[in-house]
Amino acid sequence: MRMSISRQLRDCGYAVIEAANADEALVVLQHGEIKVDIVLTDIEMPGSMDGFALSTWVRKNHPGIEVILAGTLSRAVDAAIRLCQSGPFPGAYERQSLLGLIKQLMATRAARRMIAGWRGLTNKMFKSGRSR
Amino acid sequence: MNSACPIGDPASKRLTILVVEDQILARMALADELRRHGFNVAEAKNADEALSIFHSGFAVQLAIIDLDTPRFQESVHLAATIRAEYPAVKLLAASGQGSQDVLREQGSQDDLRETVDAFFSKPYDLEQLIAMIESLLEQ
Repeated sequence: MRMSISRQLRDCGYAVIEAANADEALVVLQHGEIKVDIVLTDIEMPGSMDGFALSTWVRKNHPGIEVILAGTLSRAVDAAIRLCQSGPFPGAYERQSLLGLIKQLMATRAARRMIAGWRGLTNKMFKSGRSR
Repeated sequence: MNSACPIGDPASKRLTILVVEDQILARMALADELRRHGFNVAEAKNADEALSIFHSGFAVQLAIIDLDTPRFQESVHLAATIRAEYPAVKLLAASGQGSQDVLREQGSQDDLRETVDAFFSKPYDLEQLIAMIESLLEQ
């Protein structure tokens, strides 16, 4: 489910980082050279933090980041739709494709995932030491 | 789950690569580089997530499985499962030297070499990796 929402967000212009849980999100958020603008998070997640705790952490440590809590799949889809409507390429947002996505998602098992979105420059890390 | 309606864009001509890697920074870096090269990329943190993606009907043409994880036996088993259940998927296993030594000791390396289409050492040389992926996908 994370994958489908991520893909829709990418299609409408966002750069998306997918984190499996809050612990992974913190690794990203604490990386000095990765700029995150939006955190879209589930509430119940495996690991040391749930979505509420993550949200609190972000608001305390990165007050400039917009946090969206989506405790259900339909709320995550709603959030993705809103983000696409106000996103980098609003012209690319096609209501029909998102409605199709909603139908698919509602027909399948809900998963617990977290997505962080970012725009702007990122510094990539490769084990070869390559960075930009 | 409705496997008759695969998630994803059937109209897209982009090929899909699944990256299985438990370290988020490495996973996102590799996924982003692959997307820059025009691939659609799905990401999985571990074998369970990877299999969920396959079982959901999502079309994957190639999987990169990182073996540098404390759960690398699961990764070895994942490769064998994909080969058995989804034989058309190209498999690329990657690890640093440490994992290769352990695999060799456990006798898994030969099994793995027979299971996967290519074995890749880390750290990645990105251009070589892309060339290898493109070569595998052309077959």
